Amino acid sequence: MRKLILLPAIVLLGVLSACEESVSPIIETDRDYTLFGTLDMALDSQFVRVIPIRGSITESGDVLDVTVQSIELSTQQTLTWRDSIHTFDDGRIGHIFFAPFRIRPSQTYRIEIIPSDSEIITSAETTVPDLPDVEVLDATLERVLTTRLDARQRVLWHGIDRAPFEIEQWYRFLSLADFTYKDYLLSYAPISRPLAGETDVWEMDKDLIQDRDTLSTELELGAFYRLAGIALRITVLDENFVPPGGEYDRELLAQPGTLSNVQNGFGLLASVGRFSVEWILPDSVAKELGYIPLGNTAIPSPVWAAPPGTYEVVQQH
Amino acid sequence: MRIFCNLLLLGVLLTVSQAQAQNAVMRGFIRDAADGQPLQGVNVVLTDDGDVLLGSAADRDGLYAISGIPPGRYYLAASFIGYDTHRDTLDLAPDDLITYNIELSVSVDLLDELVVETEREGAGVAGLTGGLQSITPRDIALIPSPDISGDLASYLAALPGVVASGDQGGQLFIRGGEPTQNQVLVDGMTVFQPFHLIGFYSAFPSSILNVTDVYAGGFGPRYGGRISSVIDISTRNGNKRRMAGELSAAPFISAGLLEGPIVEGRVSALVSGRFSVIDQGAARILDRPLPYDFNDQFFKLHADLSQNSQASISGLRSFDRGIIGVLNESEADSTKNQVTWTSQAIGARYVLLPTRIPVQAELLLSVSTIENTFGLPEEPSRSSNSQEINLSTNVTHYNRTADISWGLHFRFSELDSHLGGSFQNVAQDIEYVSEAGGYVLLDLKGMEGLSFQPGVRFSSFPSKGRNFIEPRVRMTYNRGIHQVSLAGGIYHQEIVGLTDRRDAGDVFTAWTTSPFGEVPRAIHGLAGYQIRPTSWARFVIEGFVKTMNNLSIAEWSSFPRFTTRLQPADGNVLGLDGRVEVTAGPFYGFVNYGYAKVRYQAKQTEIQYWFGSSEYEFSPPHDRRHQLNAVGSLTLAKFILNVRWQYGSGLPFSQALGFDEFVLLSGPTDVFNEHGDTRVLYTYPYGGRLPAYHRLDISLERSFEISGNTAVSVLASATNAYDRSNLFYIDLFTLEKLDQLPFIPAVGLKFEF
Repeated sequence: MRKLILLPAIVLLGVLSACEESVSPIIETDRDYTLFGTLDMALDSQFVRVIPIRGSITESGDVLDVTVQSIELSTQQTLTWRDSIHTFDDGRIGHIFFAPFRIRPSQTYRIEIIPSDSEIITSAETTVPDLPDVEVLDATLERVLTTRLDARQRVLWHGIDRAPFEIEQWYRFLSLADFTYKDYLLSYAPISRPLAGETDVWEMDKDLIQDRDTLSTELELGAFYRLAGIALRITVLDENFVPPGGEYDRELLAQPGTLSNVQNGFGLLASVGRFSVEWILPDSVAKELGYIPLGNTAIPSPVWAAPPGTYEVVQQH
Repeated sequence: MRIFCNLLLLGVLLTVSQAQAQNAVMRGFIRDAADGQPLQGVNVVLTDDGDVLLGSAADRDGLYAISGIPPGRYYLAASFIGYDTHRDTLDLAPDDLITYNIELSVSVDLLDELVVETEREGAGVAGLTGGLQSITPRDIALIPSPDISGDLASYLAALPGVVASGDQGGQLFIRGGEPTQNQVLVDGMTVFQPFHLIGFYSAFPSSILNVTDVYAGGFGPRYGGRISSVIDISTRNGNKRRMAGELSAAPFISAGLLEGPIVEGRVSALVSGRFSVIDQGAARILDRPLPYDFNDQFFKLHADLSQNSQASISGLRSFDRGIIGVLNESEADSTKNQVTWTSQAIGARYVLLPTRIPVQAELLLSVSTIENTFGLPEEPSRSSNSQEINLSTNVTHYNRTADISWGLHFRFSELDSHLGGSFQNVAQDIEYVSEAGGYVLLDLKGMEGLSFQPGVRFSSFPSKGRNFIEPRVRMTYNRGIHQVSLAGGIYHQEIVGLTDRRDAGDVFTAWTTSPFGEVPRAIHGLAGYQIRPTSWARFVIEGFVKTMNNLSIAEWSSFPRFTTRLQPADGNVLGLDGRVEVTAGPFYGFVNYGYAKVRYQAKQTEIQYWFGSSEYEFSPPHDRRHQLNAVGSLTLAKFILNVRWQYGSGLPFSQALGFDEFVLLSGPTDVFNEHGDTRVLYTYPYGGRLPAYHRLDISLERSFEISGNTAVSVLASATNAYDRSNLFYIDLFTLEKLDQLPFIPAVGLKFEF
């Protein structure tokens, strides 16, 4: 009798202890890769990082069994990228894929990660910012209280609807001492804002007096320097960079999917446009500002300031 | 301040009106003749030629009061199951105000099988009335535990609607509320975080307890400052007749208690201390590291100052240190996750029955502190210290048709937090908060069987420029075997505890003012029905709803722990408790079932970018939908067998798709230089559920009497008898799992004198 009572009890306890459900904190997904990178007009080769989504916090440096390719959609030109395993300064290992090509304004590029063992392709697209039109307006010089000169020059960028990521300005001088050009990048940017009443025109207001004073202090401009040119260049980000909420809040943007354009994966692919405009001040204005203009000086070629190959020269004056 | 003046005026008017009444008032304290302990629940009845005229039941101080007694001769009977009835004849004149104290002796006939049953509100597991559950040490003794001396925590975890974070962590969620939304009072003193890291234990061993009232919601206006529940503990007084004490040893804890008279019959002292012995005990039995160290101490001095006044001084200290979660291989790494807290409270209480006016007055003064640290002991990465000074008074006017209670309180808090990057919305390092307030409560008894208690509480925070008015109501209606109860009210909580619930291993709590400026607020509503169809069975069912606004919860982040920020949220709780209690000869048992659905609506601005809507509704990690507890106790041949089986459906937790590195692209980026930060690719927060939890605990106890007051008790217990691997915690970063405690065989020994 006692056995008859004990037996079901033992069986029940056995069943209860055995009925342990398994649970995994990691759930299966068909999103296998994260892609981060920017295609940059300033570069002759493009680089992106591909991160395999893993089930544990530890990473491995194994070769990825994937093909990464880029397609320029308008021409369907396809390039296969090469993998490189890079060790970062903190000891982490990452897969950086690269391909030697230059991107072109207004072109859309798709990067695909094609695994060898799956039909699910991770991909992302980015459209390089359009080439803007630029208007360099005439410099205005005005005497204030007879002793102070106010000199400004406005530059209008058509087709730019938000603040450029970066604005740089510099001056080029011809040194008569060795007959070479000297380029001087100013450490500050001109005042910049959207043009009143326009949605896609960005206005920059150069303070020529401030520039002259800065250059005079830093360069000790003397009789041997001739003003050869002025340039502005801008770095423009494509729309994929625009964060939700307008702020680059790390905690917010790290949330998967928050700032991402990757299909079947995570991460962000974006592109960077770089454009410049260069011009020469009229001799009279240059003299008024205290520079010695080129005038008829025999000059080596080229005179324009932008280093070739890094920025798309939109316009030269 | 004007409100307080008006309230005082009201009190005076009430007092005067009472004093001018023609009827007599009788009150007094009822004590156990053996040790001077107050006896709660004693029925005091005045009869006139055999007809029951008037009656009252003693409260937790043993205080009874009968008012509105017409002049005449009365026969008094004070009766309590297990005690000899006290009888007397009294002649009461108009306007008599009599203090009549009573001592009851244990009935000689029942000495061997003393069963003290009371009819007090909330007594017994199925005595749930308007959210109130009243707990005595005898109730606690029913719950098997590895310790021979019971603990309040074990019993609380057996109640439906009470969700414990597990065997580890010391967190109790009551009907959807967070642990920091529970108010714990000991002899009127606030006690912060009194539950130990091991879930069987709190700072309240049953040996120091008298009665504990747990209001799971719908508490009256006497309580304030928390929005979920109240645990109001009344401790025992020391023995006023003789020296007594006990020593006990068990695998988790060793304890000692000493009590006795300082002035015989009038002044007593009680001192209790417990210390964890896990390293020497449980860790060896389990062959597994249990990095927990805790202890608690309590003392109480109690004095019967006169026939109509008594005073006490109580002090309590509770200490915890441990590491919750998966231990790292390196001890130094583990120590970085060490949490430590020390909770202390000391207070004085004075109870007076004025000789000239028919009121009971209580005055309380207490100081409570909590010190929390997280990280290396010598250099914690986070710390939070809080201190609360409380001065309050409670006055009850006795009247035949309505008791009127009112009170005033003044509270001063100092909140000092150093959060090291956590809870970034909390800006202040140190803050002072002052509060003044009061309440009025009516207990209307006009209709037979009906107790209707409307009231209002008001609080003012001058330093914050905030005032709250909180209407509350409680009602019970008894008719025959039926009882219907209702309760509800509005509640606010100015001082909140912030905890990162994303990680079960993080129990560090920072006490601060509400980080978003809006004070957390809750509205409670309860409705219950109780029936006693036979003398041996009772059934109760109670539904409840709580809505909570302006909560602060951890913001979701994809980065590893301890970088959290806060986000505002609202919460809703909807639930139902059902309980059946059976007493049949030597058997006592109950089965209870609890259903609760807890939902939070997070309202962080960024949610729209993550989930596509401005709010995200989710189940917080304490949303245990179903709970079942079955407890049985059988007394046979001086052996007491206790069995408990508990079941809880799985708790929510966050799952992930995996890990990657996050590189913030805010401009042209050189991918060779940006290594990125490791990121958890979470799915929707708390979208997964842990497996269900169930466990069987058994204990067998036998006492051996050595001499009159000396006895040795032996307990053998099995916790988690069928050794189920209940999952407590998954470390997402290592994928290691930590289970609740496994099968624990234990033997406990207690020596009483």
